[in-house]
Amino acid sequence: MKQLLKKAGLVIAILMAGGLLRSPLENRLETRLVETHLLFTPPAKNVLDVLGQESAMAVLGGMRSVVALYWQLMAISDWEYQEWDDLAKKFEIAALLTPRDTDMWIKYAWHIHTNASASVFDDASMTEPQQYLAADDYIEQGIGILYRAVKQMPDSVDLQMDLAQVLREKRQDYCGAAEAYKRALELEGHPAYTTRFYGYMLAKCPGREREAYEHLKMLWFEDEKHHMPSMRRDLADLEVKLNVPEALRIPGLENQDERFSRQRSGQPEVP
Amino acid sequence: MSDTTTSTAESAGKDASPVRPPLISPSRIWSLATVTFTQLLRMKVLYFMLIFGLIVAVIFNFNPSGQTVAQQLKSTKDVSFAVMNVFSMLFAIASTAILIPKDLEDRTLYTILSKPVPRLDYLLGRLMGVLMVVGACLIIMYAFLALVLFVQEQILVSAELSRLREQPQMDSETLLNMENDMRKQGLHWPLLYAPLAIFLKACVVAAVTLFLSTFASSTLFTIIVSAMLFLIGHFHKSTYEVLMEDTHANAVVALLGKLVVLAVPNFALFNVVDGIAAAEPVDPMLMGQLFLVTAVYTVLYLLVALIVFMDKEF
Repeated sequence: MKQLLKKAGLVIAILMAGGLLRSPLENRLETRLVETHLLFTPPAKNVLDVLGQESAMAVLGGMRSVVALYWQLMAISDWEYQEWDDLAKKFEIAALLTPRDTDMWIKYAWHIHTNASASVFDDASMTEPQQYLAADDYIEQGIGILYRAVKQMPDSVDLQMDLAQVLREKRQDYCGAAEAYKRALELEGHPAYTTRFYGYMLAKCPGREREAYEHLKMLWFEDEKHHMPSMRRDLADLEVKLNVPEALRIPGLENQDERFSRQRSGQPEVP
Repeated sequence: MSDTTTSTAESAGKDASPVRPPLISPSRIWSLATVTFTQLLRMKVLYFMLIFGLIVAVIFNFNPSGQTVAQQLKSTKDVSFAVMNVFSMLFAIASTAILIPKDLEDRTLYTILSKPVPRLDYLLGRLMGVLMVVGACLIIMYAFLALVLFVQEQILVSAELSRLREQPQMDSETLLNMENDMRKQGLHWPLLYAPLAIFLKACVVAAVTLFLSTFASSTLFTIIVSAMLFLIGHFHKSTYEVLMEDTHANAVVALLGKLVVLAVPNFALFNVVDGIAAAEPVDPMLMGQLFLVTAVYTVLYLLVALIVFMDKEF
């Protein structure tokens, strides 16, 4: 018995001493792994409560991505039945488990700002003004989701581009869209058209017409690939709006008078 | 004459004394490891590969609505690595837990230990055999995953690119960026770090199980306790940190928590597989440190296993 206790004591002492020795190395490594996004911080207790026993065990057992994928797949049925609150709850869990999954964030926001906002118009229990208010609320929520995603991953071009597009199309917030395109421009891997879109949004942002004109003009002279119909139209409009003297105007642009006359004659608008 | 007699007597005396075998003999360890490898393969563990293949084939054809190409590729990786993880942990625990009891039941243990085989060699050989099977299975599974992922990447990316090319105003630079985004989730060399991290985790799990099996009275006990330690090892550190933030925490509970954190390996460290599968850049230096941590754990648990096993009577 004495021998057994002695042995047990020795084993415990070795394990404790080993634990004390490895702790600093382990802590440093853990910090670095979290910093490099290879390791995620453990989910908060409230997330584990929502997950349920099996999912929580799987997450703690190292299968976080699979559990996140499971919740995303579960959300598909909510999409089919237009249960938007349930869908949002499932995506929130997926977002907490894999906060750096860009596609997941974009899909989550799309469900809310596009699908949910459109679905309210099928809801016969609401009056028309209520439908518009509800749709507006969903769009705001969707944009909020994208802003949260951008906060998580400020280095994601896809998120900035998606945010810009949603602000432009759903909110007609051209100043906000211009800012998002500007942030995308500062990131590596942005699409070639981002710089033009930044100019187009600036052109529609009140008070920033001069900046827009300078930017689009710079692009116009930089490369012929930028000579798009929208570019011609915006530059011509800006020249009129900013009262740019005739001598300083860019030659070969379609001016507003020509466009008005074309519209009057029933010719289609340049896209 | 007398000198010759003396020297003959001395040499006879030397021959008569028991020759102490070297503490560690690589050839002996290798022999034990290969025997263990064969023994475990005869248990038809490779049938699991068929299950793995089936799961990967299902996920290959699984395309729920709304999933982008990158998401589909990532799903294949996530599910495959999860299956590899589960297999490795289950196998490391179960196969290590049955080794010593089975050797006792077959009386192989008596045959081995009656020979000049140090007990450290026995433990090392058995552990190495288990890890060789886990490693071989991981290589096969990864090779299959790599093949499937490569084919899936080619099919999905080319289909998506031809769809995108039809869109007006889609310039070559944008197309290239989009292709790079999609291919980022495809097959790349850094993905190899994922099975490596799973293997390192299996090494620690097997070493802990080996330690438990040196004093456990039944295989079931070893398996259950190992699985529990495996789970505890994933969250003990964060639980302890939360406990420490609570100013009203009981001192005894806090001390016990600290002891658990010190004694049980931090398995959460090996969960880098999620990040690797998400195509986050991997620093080889960090993987080197993970390897070092694994080595520390394995040596530590082997040492305590040896202390228990050293003069154990069978």
